[in-house]
Amino acid sequence: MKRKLIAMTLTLALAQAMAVPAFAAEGTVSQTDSSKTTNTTVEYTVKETYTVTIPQSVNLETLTHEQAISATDVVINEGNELKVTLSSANYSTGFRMKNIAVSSVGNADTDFLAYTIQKGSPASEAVTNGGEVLTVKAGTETGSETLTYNTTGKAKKAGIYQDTLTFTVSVDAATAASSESV
Amino acid sequence: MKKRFWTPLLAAALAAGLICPALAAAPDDRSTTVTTTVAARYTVDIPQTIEIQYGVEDTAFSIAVTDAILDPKGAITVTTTAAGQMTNAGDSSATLAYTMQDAQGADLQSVRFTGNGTTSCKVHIDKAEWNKAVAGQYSGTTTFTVSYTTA
Repeated sequence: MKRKLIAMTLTLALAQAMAVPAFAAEGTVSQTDSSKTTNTTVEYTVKETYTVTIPQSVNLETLTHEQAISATDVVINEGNELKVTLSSANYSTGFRMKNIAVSSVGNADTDFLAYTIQKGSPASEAVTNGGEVLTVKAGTETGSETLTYNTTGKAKKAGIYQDTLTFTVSVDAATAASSESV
Repeated sequence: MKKRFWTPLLAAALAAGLICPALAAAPDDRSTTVTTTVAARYTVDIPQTIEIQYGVEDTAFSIAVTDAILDPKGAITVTTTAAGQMTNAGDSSATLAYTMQDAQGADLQSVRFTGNGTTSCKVHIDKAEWNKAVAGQYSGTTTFTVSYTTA
């Protein structure tokens, strides 16, 4: 009985450890071997890392309506690319800021102020909702892009207008059509 | 019986320790706030001079708001003192009383605008006042005060 109890306890202890040590196969060379060489594999795993910098806010009342976004220390797997896209919950037929004094859904005609976003320096390419603003391919450590914002149309109501742009950063398999990083 | 009970249990415990979850890298989100301020503006037009013809009881004029860009709850209020008095230029004791009125004839005290618009008003002088008026040129001043509120 005692023996059985000890055996059970020891077995349980082994299972609870949860660690399954994996010992690499050792290379052994003995005197009688025809080949006196053996190999050791040296391994090191580089994790994917990157830093993407996006300004917290952009005020269209300033003279320069530009915003720079950048990617640095980009280390990603071969064949992948770092992609930054942007989107807005207020987007309708275009980007638009909403009067913050309006708590409801808002009147499309009077409570919103439309604006555009272009990328490039000088600004040349229109950015769409969900569109890509920056791509950095594997092997390139840095990338940057300039975004230019401009209001269009005329506000029908006074007040502070705001929009929140969500920048989504992802690492995916590179597509053939993706542009080179800037 | 006991051996059969413990063996599969220990085997299950061992197998559970071998599960290694692999977490995929999920997209990461950050946000930028785009902002601008549109200042409220408006123009209130009030006649600088209202010429009254002799004997006319009601002389119309209007108060207008143009180029209004107001806050969602913005309102322009124009207030005045309804009762006024014109004084004879040659005899300061001779006066002619008048009343500022709205289009319906009620005393005009304030007019409210929530956007562009025009309100018709009038200067009213009772016939009795005209009857006792002596000859001469009369003039008076009425002050209009414009205020803007957002609540």
